[in-house]
Amino acid sequence: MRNLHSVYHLARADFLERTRRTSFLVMVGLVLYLGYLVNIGQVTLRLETYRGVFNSAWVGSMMTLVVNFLLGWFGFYLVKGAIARDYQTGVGQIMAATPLSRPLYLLGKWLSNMAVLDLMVFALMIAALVMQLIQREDAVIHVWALISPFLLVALPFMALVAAIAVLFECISWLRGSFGNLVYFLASSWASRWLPLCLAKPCRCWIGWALGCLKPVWRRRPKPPTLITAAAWL
Amino acid sequence: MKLTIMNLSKQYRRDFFGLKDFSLALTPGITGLLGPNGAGKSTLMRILATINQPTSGTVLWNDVDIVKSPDTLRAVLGYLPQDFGIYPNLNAVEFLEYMAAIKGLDSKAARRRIEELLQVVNLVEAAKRPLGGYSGGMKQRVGIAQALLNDPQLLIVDEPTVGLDPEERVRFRNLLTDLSGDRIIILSTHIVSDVEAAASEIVMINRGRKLQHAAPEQLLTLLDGKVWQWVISADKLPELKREYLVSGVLRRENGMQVRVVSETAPAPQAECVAPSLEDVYLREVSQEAASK
Repeated sequence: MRNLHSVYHLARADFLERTRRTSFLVMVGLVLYLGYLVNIGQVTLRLETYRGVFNSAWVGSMMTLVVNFLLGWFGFYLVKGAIARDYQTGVGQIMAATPLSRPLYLLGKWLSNMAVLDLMVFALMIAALVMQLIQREDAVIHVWALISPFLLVALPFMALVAAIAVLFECISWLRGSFGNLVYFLASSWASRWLPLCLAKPCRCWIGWALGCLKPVWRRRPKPPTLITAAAWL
Repeated sequence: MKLTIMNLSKQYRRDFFGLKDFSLALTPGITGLLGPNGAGKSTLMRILATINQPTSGTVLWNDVDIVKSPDTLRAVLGYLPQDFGIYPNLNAVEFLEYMAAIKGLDSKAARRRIEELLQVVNLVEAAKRPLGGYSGGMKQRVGIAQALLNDPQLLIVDEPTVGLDPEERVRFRNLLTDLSGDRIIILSTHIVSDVEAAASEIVMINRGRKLQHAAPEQLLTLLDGKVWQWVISADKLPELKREYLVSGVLRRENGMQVRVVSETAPAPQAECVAPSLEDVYLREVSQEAASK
């Protein structure tokens, strides 16, 4: 119980520290702006000439794609640095002199990372509701259809991004700029190949493996756009 | 309650020791750890705070080896590091709540303790302001408050008065004196007046070695009849510095009033004066340097 109390306060303090920064507000603004672009049809998923009706399921799904795409990529950079900050400020030294164990400390940092990202997901969830009401292509709000993509897709994905950020900070050679570059390349690569692998698992995993060995060995399938890549996620 | 340090060494490189064969036994009271920058004070503090591990030697807290069982000490330890930092967007209450939880205090006890400590460190009015807007002295007071949250039996403060204005330094020294009841306080500094005012015992350290460990009054007896003071012209000062250990110089109307540590009178007009702790400190450090 005492451990949970410590982890809660660790995550809370870190969360408050970060969400009171200007950079966080900028990121929330950016996420909401992208949500707005979805609403006015600037960012959308089209199947040839068809597009979805702006009902709860469609708005929720589209918004989830947007948030996964944006926070999957840039959210990492937003939340990375929680451990480095403790090191730089000297707060880490004080923690090292307390009975708090290392796994609990990392758990607290992961929860804090996740809370920061999840807050943005929730902001977009609210925005999705408002946008459906504004669009009024389908005025009936189906709450579960609207929020389920966020809960079932976006939140687990944010948990993964939060965990990767903590992992990168724990590995010395991934801690700095090189780690940032590795994540950027890895996430770009994943967004390009994962949809294919999920769509046609067998063929694509072989292609992915061959692509690792020799990228120009065979003609690759036309890569999907980023937004359709995110759709598969 | 006792802290015993036995033959402690910390080797950073093949030929460089932060601490070498350092032994000490401490009981309740304020122990001032005095030494120049780079003497090994922070190395010792970090080992005692269980942050770093020694290369060799033992540290016993009530006969328990803290290198093997650090949590025994951590539960009763308060530590204020030299480069103490804060979360600038939290206020003092939030930051102290956070630290209290990390130290294992439950919410109710933490709230009560935070209220007490904010009064002790005189931060009640600024308690809800973001820490980023605090002055250096106010941040240091938050640091002291966090170190005292768990009512520690061992309090380690590393160079706590750096960056404080004279008034804040005096207030801080008084605070330490008030706290020194039934607990061991280790105060590390290179400012002699800080330990002179507060410490019941003084340990002098340089190049990782212990030079002296005694009560301030005992240390002063080391230089009885060996400190001299007189006035010279300014042009003679460089020559005097080459020949003697000059522990103080003051500009006067008729020249420079110098203070010299010497076994015999360095000049006919030199007057024997009472030694200060600064004289002892400078003598010990210069002797140790000369022996190298």
